[in-house]
Amino acid sequence: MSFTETSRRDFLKATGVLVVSFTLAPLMTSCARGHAETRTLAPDQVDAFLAIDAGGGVTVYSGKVDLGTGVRTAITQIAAEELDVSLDRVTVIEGDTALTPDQGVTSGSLSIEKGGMQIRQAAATARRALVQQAAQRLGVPAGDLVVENGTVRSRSGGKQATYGELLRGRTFSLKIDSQAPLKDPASYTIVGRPVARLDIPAKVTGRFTFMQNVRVPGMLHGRVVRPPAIGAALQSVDEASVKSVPGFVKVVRLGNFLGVVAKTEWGAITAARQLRATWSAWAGLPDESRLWRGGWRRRTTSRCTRMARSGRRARSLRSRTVPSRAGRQARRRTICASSSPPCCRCRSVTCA
Amino acid sequence: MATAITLDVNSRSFTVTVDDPQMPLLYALRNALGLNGPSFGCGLAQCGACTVHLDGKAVRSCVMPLAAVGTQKVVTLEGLGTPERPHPVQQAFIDEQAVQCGYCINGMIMQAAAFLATSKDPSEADVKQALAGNLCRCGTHLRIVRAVMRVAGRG
Repeated sequence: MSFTETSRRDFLKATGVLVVSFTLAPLMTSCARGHAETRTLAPDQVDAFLAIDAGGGVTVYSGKVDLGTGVRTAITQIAAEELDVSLDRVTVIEGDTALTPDQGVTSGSLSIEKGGMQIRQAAATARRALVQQAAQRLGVPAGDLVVENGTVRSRSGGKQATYGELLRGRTFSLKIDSQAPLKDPASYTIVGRPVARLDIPAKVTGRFTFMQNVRVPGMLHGRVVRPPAIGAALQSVDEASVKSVPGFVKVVRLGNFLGVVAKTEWGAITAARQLRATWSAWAGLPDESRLWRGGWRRRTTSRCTRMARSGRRARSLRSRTVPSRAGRQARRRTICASSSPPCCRCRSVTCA
Repeated sequence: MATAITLDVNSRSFTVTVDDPQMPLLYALRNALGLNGPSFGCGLAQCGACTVHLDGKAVRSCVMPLAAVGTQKVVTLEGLGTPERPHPVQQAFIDEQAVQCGYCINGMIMQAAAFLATSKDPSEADVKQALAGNLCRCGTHLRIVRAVMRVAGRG
């Protein structure tokens, strides 16, 4: 095994920054960018998923995010179990593309089955490396060593070294080994036992930052103006009807998508309510038998669904900002990005 | 024309300047005061995610005009209790793990706390009736009812 003597200072600095990034969302982007330069995101590297500081604190980097399903707590359990450390020593950083490896989208109940297993294997690789390192340092065969809460000690007692002492703030610089032995589930003390969800105290006291609570300097507010029926087409918009709304910025029209932007949330709501638009007449409901066979759903969601399946959604949404995309293609992109087709409507709730 | 309105929120006095005094309280709490307890759910008083207390009564802040708040004392989820010293209802929601995504939980707790303050020894049916206007999409209802019953001394 090899450790890279690099960035203890960087790591500690970055760890400090991470704490800030949790509590002060506006700082996150620039700080995270600085941190990303010091660490790998390659999904075959232990360092992409795990870091252990000099004090023995474990940071887990998860590409899967907790949308209210307890994934954060479960991943904390998985990492703590496989590394043999207590739960309170593990901190999980989730879903920051500058910090966390790409583990694909959070959906399909795959966060534990796929994402958690990657982290488990990274932890198993790390644990084996730490035990080997301890064997060298203590002069005790690896087979005679046991790990208890982040301390490697000889079975006979006496010699021991903590993870923090073994790593001394360095990175692992180690590929994840799919053959690194996993703990026997029969010996589990953390996984498989009920653990209180880590996010609940903040959620019941108003301290939790939902994505709806992220605020950035100079942020504008938008509201979508919905058509009166699913098949109605936008015929005309009278922008003058909202010019007098305080804070009004602009009307956004892309094909049949209509929205407003304002400096304040109430300004956007007022403008959306007040905007005069005419839509073509449309009555009835889509033919149920065609919903999944290329009828309504394909018309509005096919691109979004494809992107979600291929894990390319974030990149594709960025391309939405490319100007002068007109006609059908632009309309489909916009619907996908902004007007909540069924597959994008999950808000804070989805199958993670 | 900009209007200055003074509010008593969580026992502190704040003055907010708004273009429209008819703007609902929710937007002042969230955007001017930076509070995250009350959530925007529907904006139409239909879901309860925005619930706050006005002089102890649970109201939907998304339709409560700022101009109508006056000197009434506003309490939000943040003011009800803290992680260190949670309100009994907040503690019960932790004990029963009565949160999934948590977006509606502000309303559930604020509605339940106001209800329990005036309803002694409620039955489970009373609790369900009191929370009937608060929507949860995750399906945490059974745990929520258990949490409220726990505070009522019957859980």
